[in-house]
Amino acid sequence: MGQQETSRRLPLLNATEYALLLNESYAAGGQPLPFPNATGLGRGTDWQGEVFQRAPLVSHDLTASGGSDRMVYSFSGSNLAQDGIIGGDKSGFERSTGRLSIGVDLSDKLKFSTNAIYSFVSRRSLNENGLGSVLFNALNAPPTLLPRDDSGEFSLVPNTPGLGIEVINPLAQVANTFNDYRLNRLNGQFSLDYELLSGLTLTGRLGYNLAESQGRSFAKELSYGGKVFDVARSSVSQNSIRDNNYSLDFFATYQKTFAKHHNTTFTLGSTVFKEFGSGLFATGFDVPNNDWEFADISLARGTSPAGGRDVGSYSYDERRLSYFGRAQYDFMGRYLFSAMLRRDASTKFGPQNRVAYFPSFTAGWIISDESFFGSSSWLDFLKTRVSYGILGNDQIVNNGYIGTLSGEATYLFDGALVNGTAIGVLPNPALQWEEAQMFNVGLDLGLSDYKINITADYFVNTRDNLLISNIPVSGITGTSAPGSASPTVNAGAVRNQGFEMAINYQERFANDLKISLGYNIGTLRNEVLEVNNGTGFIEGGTFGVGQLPPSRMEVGLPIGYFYGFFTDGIFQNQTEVEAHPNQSALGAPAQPGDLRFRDVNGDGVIDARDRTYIGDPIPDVTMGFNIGFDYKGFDFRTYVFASLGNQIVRNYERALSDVNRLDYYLSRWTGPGTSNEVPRVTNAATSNGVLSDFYVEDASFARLQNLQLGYTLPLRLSSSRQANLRLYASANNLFTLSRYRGFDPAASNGSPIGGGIDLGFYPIPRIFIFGANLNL
Amino acid sequence: MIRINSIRYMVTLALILGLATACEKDFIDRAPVYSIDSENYFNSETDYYNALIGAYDLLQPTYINVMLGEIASDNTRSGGESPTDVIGIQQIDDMAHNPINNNLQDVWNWMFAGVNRANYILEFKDKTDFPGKAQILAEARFLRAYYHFELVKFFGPIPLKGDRRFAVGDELVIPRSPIAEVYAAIEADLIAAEKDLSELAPQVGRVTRGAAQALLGKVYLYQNKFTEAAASLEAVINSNNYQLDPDYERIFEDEGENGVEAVFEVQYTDAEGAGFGCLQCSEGNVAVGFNGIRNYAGPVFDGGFSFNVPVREAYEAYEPGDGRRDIAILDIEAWAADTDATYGVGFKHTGYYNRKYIARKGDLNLGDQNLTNSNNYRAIRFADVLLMAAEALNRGNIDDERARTYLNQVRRRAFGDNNHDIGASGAALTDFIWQERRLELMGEGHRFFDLVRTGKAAGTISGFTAGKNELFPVPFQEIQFSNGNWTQNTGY
Repeated sequence: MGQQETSRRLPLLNATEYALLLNESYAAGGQPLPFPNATGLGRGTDWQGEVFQRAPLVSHDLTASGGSDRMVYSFSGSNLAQDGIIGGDKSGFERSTGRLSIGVDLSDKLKFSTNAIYSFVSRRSLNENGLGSVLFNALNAPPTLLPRDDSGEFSLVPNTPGLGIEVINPLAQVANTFNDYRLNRLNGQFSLDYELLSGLTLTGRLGYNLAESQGRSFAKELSYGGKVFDVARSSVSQNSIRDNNYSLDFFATYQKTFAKHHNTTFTLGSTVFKEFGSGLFATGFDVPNNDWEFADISLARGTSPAGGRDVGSYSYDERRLSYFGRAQYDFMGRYLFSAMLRRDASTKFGPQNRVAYFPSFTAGWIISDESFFGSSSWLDFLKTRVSYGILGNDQIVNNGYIGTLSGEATYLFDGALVNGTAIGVLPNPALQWEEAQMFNVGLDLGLSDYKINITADYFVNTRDNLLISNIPVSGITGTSAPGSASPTVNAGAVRNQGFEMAINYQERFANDLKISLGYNIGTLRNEVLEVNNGTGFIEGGTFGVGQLPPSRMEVGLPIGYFYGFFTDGIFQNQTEVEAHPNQSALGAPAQPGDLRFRDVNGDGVIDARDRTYIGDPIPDVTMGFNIGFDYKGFDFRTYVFASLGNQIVRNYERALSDVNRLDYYLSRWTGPGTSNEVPRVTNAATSNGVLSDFYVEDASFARLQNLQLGYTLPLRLSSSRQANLRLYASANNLFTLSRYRGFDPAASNGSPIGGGIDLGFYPIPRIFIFGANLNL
Repeated sequence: MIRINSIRYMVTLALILGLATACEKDFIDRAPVYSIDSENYFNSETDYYNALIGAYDLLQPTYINVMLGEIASDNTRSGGESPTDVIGIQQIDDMAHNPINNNLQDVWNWMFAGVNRANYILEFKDKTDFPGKAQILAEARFLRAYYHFELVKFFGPIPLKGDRRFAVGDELVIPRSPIAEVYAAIEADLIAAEKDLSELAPQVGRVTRGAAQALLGKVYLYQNKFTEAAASLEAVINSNNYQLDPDYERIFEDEGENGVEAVFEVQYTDAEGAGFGCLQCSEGNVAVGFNGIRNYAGPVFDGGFSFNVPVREAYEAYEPGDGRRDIAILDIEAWAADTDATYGVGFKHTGYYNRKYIARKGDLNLGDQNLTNSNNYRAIRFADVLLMAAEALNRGNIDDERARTYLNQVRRRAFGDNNHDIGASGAALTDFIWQERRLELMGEGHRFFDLVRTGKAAGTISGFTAGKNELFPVPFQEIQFSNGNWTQNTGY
C-alpha cells in the first residue's frame, strides 16, 4: 500500500510577477500594457498545485510453490492498482496477473515444463507528454486566472492574442477526458527435453504471446472558447487490437568428455519466429446525451459526410527463421572456448537482403586454477575472457523495403469526398540487417573468500548499417504528401566504447550483522564512424516552431548531438550590437538585451552556418551504488543511480507572449548590466528562440532510486511449522540531485537522432510504500 | 552399438534440419498481408483513376501558395497574432525571408509531392490500356504542369525527372533545370493534355480542356510569349464554355462554387476533420481559417487567425462605384458598427480582411474548424482569362481593340454600367489592364507573381530587392541534401 506524488514542481511566476513581466514585454514590443494595474494580484493560481495530487497505490501478491521428486510447481497471483499523480482515477491503472509453472519428469529421459502468465490491464489515460498535455496547460495557463468562475464552472483560458489557441484550463481538460483501455494477455512456454542417448538431448520449445486489447475514447461536444480542443460534434472511437507471436525452438545438444579433461558441447538447432496481428478502428458520431455513459458506436449513429472514412484497420505478419550451431570446448574447466554461427532470415528485408550470417567467439582462462598460481591466501578467483561477436537487428517498421499504397489520397469530385490510392512511407529496397559487432575483454576477480567480487570489462561495440526510421530526405521525393513519410535507412556506423566495472562486497559478521555494498561504474564514448549518404550527416528531431532540426548524426561526433549556436552573453547596449556581426539572418535584427551568438565560421555574419556542436544527450559516465544491511530481524537496502555528462534541451517553453514562464525570467536583462544570461522579454520578433546553448542544460543527475527498511517477525504456527511476517517501508525516487530546470533530467523520447529534447515529459513519481510479506 | 545409434540419430537430425530448410522459402517468402505493392499496380482503369485522385489531392495544400502570393505583395500584410506567429509568413511580408522558412519549405515539399504523384501515373502510363485512359493521363499531365508552374514561380530553376518519380539520391545528381527548360516541360505537358481533355469535366472538380488552355496561356504570358498566349487564351474565350458570372459577389460564396466563371477550381470541403500536425492532409481550405477574423463574434462570418490582412491602400485603390471593393475587402470596423459584431485586434491589424477567403458561417465546423473551411479556391476564373488575353493582345501588339473589349467586359460587371469603359491603347492600356488585374483578382494569390513578371515589384513592394526577391530561396535543408549539386538563388 502506498502513495505517489510528483518528484518535482517547476518554479513558475506567480500572478504578480507574471503581470509585471507581461507589461514589460508588451512595452518592449510597443503595445499597450495588458495589466495597467498589477497591484493586488497576489500569488494567483498555482496551476501545478491544482493538477498534481497524491495518488494511492495498492498492491497484493500471493505465491505458492511445492513439488515432489518428479514434479515441481508454483503459482502466484498479484494485483496492482494505482491512480495517477495528475488526474487521479482519470489516469488510473490496474493490473492483475496470474502465473503458473509446472515441471514434470515424464520419464527418466523425457522432461516437460510449462509456464503461463495471464495478465489483465485496465487503464485510463490523459494527454501526457508535450504540447497539449495537462501539464503543458498547467505550465502555460496564466496564474492570474482562477480555476473556476463565479458560477463554479471551469474558467476558460481567454482566446486572446498571446495565449494562442492551444492553452486551455488543465482542470477542465482532465474533467473532459474520457477513455478506457483493457488488455488481456496470455504468454508462456512449453518445453520438452528428451535425452535420446547419453549426452545427446533433444529440446523442443514453444513460446507464445497472445494479446488482445480494446480501447475506447469519447470526444465530448464542448467549447473551450475557440481553442483547438473544441469539439463541434461528439464522437466515440473504439478499437480492437490483437498482437500475437510465437517462437518455436528445436535444438539438439551433445555433450561429451574425451580423455577425461576435454569437455565438449555441440548444439545445433533452429528457431522459427512469427508475429502477427491486426487492428480494427471505428468512430461513431453524435453520442446520445453527449455523455460517456452512452459512448458506444452501437448508440452513436452519426457518420461522417459521404466519402469520409470512419473505419480503419491494419494487419501484419512478420517472420524470422534462424539456424544456429555452437561448439563449446574446455580443458579441465580452465581453458574455455566457444564458437557460434547463426543464419537469420527476416521478412523485414527484401528478398536479396533477407539472409545474414552472424558468427561469434568467446574464450576464457581461469588463471587461478593454474598450478603456478599456487594457493594465494587472498585471491580466490581470477579469470580473463575475451569475446567477439556479431548480432543482427531487424527491429524496424514492417515492409520498409517495399512501396505500399498506404498513403492518403482524398479529394472532392462532384462535391463529395473520393478516396484514391497513393504511395505511403517511401520504400528503401536496399534495407539490410543492422550488425552489432561487439568486442569485449574482461576480468573477473574473487577476493578474500569471495567477500569481494570484481568484474571489469572494456568493450567496443560498433553498430554497422544502423537502422533508423523516418530519416529526413529531400522533399523532391514527395515524402511530405499526406500519408507518406521518409524511409527507414541503414544510416551508417556508430561506435560505443567504454569501460565497465562492478565491485561487490559482502560480509557476515558474527553478531548477526550482514553487510553488502556494491558499486558499478561505466564510461561511454560514442562516435559516429560513417554516414551513408552524400552529405556526411543526417538531421532529425524538433525544437521550437519552424526551426531547423536540432539533432545530427555526423562523422566524428556522438550520434544525435545538438547542433545550434553558441551564445556569447547578452548585448548590453546598441554599441555592442553594432560592433557584432549582423544576426538578422536568424529572424530579426538584434537589440540590446538579446542573446549574442558567436560567429563560429568567422565570416562576419551570423547565420545558419554558424551552428556547431553544443552538447549531446549521451552520458559520459553512469554509476550505481547500493548498500544493504541485515541485523537480527531488520533489513535495509538502498540504491543510488547517477548519470553524468549528458545534456538535455529545454523545449517545453511555449513561445507565446502571454503564457506563464519559469522564474529564471525574474533575472532577465532589463537594462545595461542587469543580466548576461537571460535575455530581455518582448513580444516583438527576436532571434532569441533559435536553438542555442541557452536552451541546452546539464542533465547530469544522481537519484536515490530506492530506500527500503524492513523488519521480519518470526511467527511460530505450531511446533513443526514456522512462518515469517516481514513489514517494510520503502521510498522510490526520494530525491534527485540535478541542476536541470525541467521535470526529469532522464527524460527522452529515445530517438537516436532527436532524443534528449525535453518536450515536456512528465516528472517521475515519488512513491512511498508500506507493506507486509507473509511467508508460510 | 551406441556409435551406430548415434550416427542414425545424427542422420535423422540432419534430415529434419534439411526439411526445415526446404520449408524456409515458404515461410519467409510471404507476401505482406493486405497491402498493394506500388510497383505492381496500374492493372485496371480503377487503379489509374484512384492514383489520379492522389495526384489531385496535393492541390489542396496550394492554400499556402495563394496566401504567400498576396502577403508577399503590396495587397496585404502578414497579420496573425504576434510578430512571431508563423514567423515564415511574417518574414515574407517584410521581405526579410531567408532560406530557413517553414512555409517556403512547405511549398517546395508539397508541390514536389504533387509532381511525384502525377509522375507515378505517367511512369506506368503504358502498362494497361482501357478506353478513357488518354483523359486520365491528360489530367495527370495538367496536374504536373500546375505543380511545376507553382515551383518555377516560387523557386525558378528546379530539378526535372521526366515521367519518373524522384528517388532518394536524385538530389545529389539531377541539376536544377534552367527556368526556360522548366517552362518548356510545362508547355509540353499542357499542349499534350489539351488534346486529350474533354471540354466538359467528367466530374465536377476535374480538369477541362479550357483549364489546360487557360493555364497554358498563363504560362506563355509569364514568358512574354504574347502571340501564343493570346491564341491559347482566346481559344478558351471562343469555346463559349465559360462566361462572367453577372453577380461578382456570388462567385465567392458557397452557391457560386464551380459556377459559370470557374475555369479551374481547387475543391475543398468541411466534411473531414484536420489537425495542425498535417496541414497538407486537410480537405478544407486552411487559408480561409488563417485569413479569418480574429476572435470574431457576429453574423455571416466565422472567426480565424487574422492573417493576410489587406492594407488601406489596396482598399482605396478601387474607383468610386466599383462594386468589387466591398466584396473583395471587408472593412471590419464599419461591419462591426453595422452589425454589432465583435472582433479582436491582431498583429499588424489594418482594419481590413480578405473577404473572398475568410470563413463563412454555416459549415460543419469539424475540428479543427479553422482548418476545415469549405471555400473552394477559384484558381482560374474566366475574368482572369479575359484579362490575361487582353494583356497578351495588347503587349504583343496584336489587337488593342479586342484587348479593350475583354478588359471592358470585366469592368462593366464591376461597375454595372458602360460608363467606366477604357478607351486607351498601347502602354496606357497595358497599365489599365494591370491595375484591373489587381482589383479584379484582389486576395486571390496572383498579385506578387504579376508584379514580378511585369517588372513592377521593385518600388511597389516595400523591402523588395531587385535581382533577389523575384525568386524565393530554396529551402536550406534542400541545399544541404543536394551536397553542392544545387546552388542557392541569388542574394540568399
